[in-house]
Amino acid sequence: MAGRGRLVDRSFVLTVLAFVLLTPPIVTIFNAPVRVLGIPLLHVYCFGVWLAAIVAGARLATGLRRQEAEPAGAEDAPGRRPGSPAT
Amino acid sequence: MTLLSAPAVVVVALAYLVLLFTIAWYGDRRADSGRSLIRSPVVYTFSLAVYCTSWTFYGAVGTAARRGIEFISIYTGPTVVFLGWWFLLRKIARISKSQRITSIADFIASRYGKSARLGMLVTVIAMVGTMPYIALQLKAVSTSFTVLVNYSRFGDLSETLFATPSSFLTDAALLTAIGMAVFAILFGTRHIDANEHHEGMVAAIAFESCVKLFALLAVGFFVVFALGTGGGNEAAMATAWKNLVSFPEGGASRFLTMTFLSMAAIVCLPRQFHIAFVENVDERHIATASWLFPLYLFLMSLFALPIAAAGLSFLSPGANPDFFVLTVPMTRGQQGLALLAFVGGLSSATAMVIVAAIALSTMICNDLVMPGLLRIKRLRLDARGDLSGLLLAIRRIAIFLVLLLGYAYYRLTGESGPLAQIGLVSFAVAAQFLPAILGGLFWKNATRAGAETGLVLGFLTWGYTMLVPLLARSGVLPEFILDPGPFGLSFLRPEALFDLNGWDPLSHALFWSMAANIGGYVLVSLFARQDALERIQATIFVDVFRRPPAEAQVWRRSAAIEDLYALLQRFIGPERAARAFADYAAERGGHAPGRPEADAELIAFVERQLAGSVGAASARGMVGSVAKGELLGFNEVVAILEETQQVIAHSRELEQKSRELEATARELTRANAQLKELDQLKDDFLSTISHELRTPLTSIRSFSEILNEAHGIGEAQAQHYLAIISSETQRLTRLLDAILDLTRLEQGEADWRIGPFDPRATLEDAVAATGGLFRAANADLEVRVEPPARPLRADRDRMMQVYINLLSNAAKFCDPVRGHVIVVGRPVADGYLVEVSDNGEGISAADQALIFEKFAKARERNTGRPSGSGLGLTISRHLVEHHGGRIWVRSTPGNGATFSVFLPEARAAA
Repeated sequence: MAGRGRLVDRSFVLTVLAFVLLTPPIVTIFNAPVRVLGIPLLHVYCFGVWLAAIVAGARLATGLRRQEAEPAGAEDAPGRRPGSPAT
Repeated sequence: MTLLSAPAVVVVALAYLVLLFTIAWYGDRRADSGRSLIRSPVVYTFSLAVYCTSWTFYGAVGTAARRGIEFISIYTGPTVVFLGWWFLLRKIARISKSQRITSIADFIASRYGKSARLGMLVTVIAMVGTMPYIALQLKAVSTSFTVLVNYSRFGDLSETLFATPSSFLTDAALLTAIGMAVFAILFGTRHIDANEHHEGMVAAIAFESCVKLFALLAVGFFVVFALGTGGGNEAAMATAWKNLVSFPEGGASRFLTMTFLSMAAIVCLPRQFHIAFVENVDERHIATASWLFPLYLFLMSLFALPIAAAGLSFLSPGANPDFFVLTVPMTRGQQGLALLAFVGGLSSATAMVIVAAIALSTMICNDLVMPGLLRIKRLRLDARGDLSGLLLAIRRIAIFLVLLLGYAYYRLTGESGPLAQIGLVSFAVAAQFLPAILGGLFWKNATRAGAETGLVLGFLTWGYTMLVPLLARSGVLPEFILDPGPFGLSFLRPEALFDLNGWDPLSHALFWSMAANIGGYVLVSLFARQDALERIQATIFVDVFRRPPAEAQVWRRSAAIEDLYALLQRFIGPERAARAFADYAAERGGHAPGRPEADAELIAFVERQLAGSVGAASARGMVGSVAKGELLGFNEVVAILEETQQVIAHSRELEQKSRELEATARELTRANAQLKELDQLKDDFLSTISHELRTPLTSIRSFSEILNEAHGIGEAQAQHYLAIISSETQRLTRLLDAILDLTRLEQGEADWRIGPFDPRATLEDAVAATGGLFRAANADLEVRVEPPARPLRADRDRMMQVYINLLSNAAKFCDPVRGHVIVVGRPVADGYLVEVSDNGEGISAADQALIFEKFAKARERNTGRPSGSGLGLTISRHLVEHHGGRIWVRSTPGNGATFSVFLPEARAAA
């Protein structure tokens, strides 16, 4: 099982990755006149990435919460994250 | 058509509202009896879904129809923020809990030194930003009602349907506003508590989120499965997909802007902050919401594009895409579904209005009115009796005021653009809070002056670049401001400030307002000084996950406990105040309530309790009125903080060092014990060897002396002695050989000749070789040997040595009178097993562990058994283990012993 530091790292990367994959310019790459089962590729791509990120987030959240519950790692990694990935 | 007549729709809407009131009432009752409905991450997630307002319910499809995929940015933004919950949301939640934050204004004010002025500023900005948003909800309810009723009356959708109804009394918007005000007052201002939890309201909001999700999914399934695949409509739908814009031309910047705005909004909108952090009952719920809430958003967005496509292909080109969710089912004669969609839209509008009204009223009361009243000395507020009634009255009036203003805004602006446009204006205001919040969470040196400057500049710029164009277009301001610009100065045009052309208005406004906001915030923070309270609050916020300092450390003040108690009970009532004091005493291990003077810690505690009901800034003012003393100087505070940090760092270092030392000591002890053991083994080995060597040597020496000295010995006698000498010499040689053999094995220097190995033939050879021993011991030998299942590889001679050793041991140790030895060889899983069983005395459990050690046999020498080298089993073990096999013994004392040798299949033969 991965250590907590690694789970936090993965969570960070997932957040950044979700942002990058779901915004231009990456999104515009899939704006092609191609259809998957009659649905434009762009829509399939966006909803697909979105769902995949949710699934990955669910797995990470479970792991992080379990490890947070353990008293051993009560300390956050201080100062390692300069800011929220949300901005 | 009767289902959609005006009275029927009104009855359904009223029934829905009654249900909502019932749920809230039931939720409050459960909370009062201690069986909370909302202690579940799922309920928490659904309450967060107040994010999805009627803008989502109707407007997402509208945006999808106009601008394609762009609408999802409003939902993927929050998804990203929630995926990163560990870094932002968790921290805000922890701080909100420990500081008893009551609103976003309280949060920002508290971070920047409990500044009343900053709290007021945030409250005013939040009110300005929320009004259009509430108006949007009212507009959506009113319009959806009109669409529904007029369609049933006229049977088609003409342009006249979208006119605002003229009469006040039949205005659905007004009725909704009044209904929501009543709800918010009933369930949002029941009593003043030390934490702002409104369980009934949260339960009702969660229920509303279920309703709107269900309604939207129902319409979506209808469109996809009933329209898309049945009735020969595939062709129509395919054309619809073609008609749909997938990505608007040049929409990249707007897409990014909207993603950023929605990321900011999910944290900074007053109602989102309220529901996510103030109403949060358990921090762990955020972990579940981190994926469940994005999933909710995903499901809400899933059918927007198909519904838009259906609307574009089945409805006349003039139809308003914002209401496709209603009109698409209606054109297919699905009145029930249309009604369900209407209820869904109603639920999303009411949820937003309720939470926004409660969040705003809390802010208005705690951060606008109370600090103002406290400043008016003539009121002598600090000397009055029960103040909780006053607080409730202020909040109730504030709720009415908020909804009244929202309604007024709606009546004034009426038809100003599509729903999404209005919503984004609100989002852009909320985003102004983001720099102050993020900086407050991660940058200790951010100052109050910086936050104030940033907020004012950002807000003013927003007003100029976003609000002014909106007002100019709706005729409130003259058009010339937009073009050619005020005073004819083109670089002042609100939508092309400093001649920045070519951007969409939204990105343009956001860029300038954020530039002004962040610029002012950072620059002023770099040069302004923090005061002591700011510094300590900054440290408490930024270091919330480390050991944050206690606020009491930096106050040098005292107060009469009596005064503090009186103050607290005026706000939260005598029972709650008594309980709070009792809790505090219990926590500190008996703070005698009889003591007249309270220390700084107790004062800080009371201030925190108060902050939970009136906000940090007001609480500070009120405690200040009873507590005498002062804050330490800034430098002293910084010194204390640094000292604390240093002490923490120091003690951590010490802990680390002592842990390392302990580990080293343990390591040393272990090594020492090992060495002692080895030393003991060596001594044993040497003494055993000398002993073993001495026995044959002694007999050789005595017999040779006899032969040498005595002359009367007969030839036969002499021959006998010589034979003994010879056999003892051989024994000596065997012993030395064994020792040498073992040394080579232990040092890994032995030669190995690994090849194909037939255990059956080897075992039979070993039996034949030891046949004489068994005859001599008068023992039966029973042999049952099967061929191996798969080929084996081993050193035949070495394995022979092992088998012979076991057989000769068996011959030696079997029952001396009726000796019986069984040899079994058979294939097992993965290898081949040989078992040699005798019927001797057996081996005690203690000895079983020892016999594979060197000379172990020597230790039980007094059994009078025939002696060998004492090394046979040790050597056998080495040999078997070299082949990757195992050797072991099973025995019950008195019932003989069974030695087993397992040899694995070919792979092990290295």
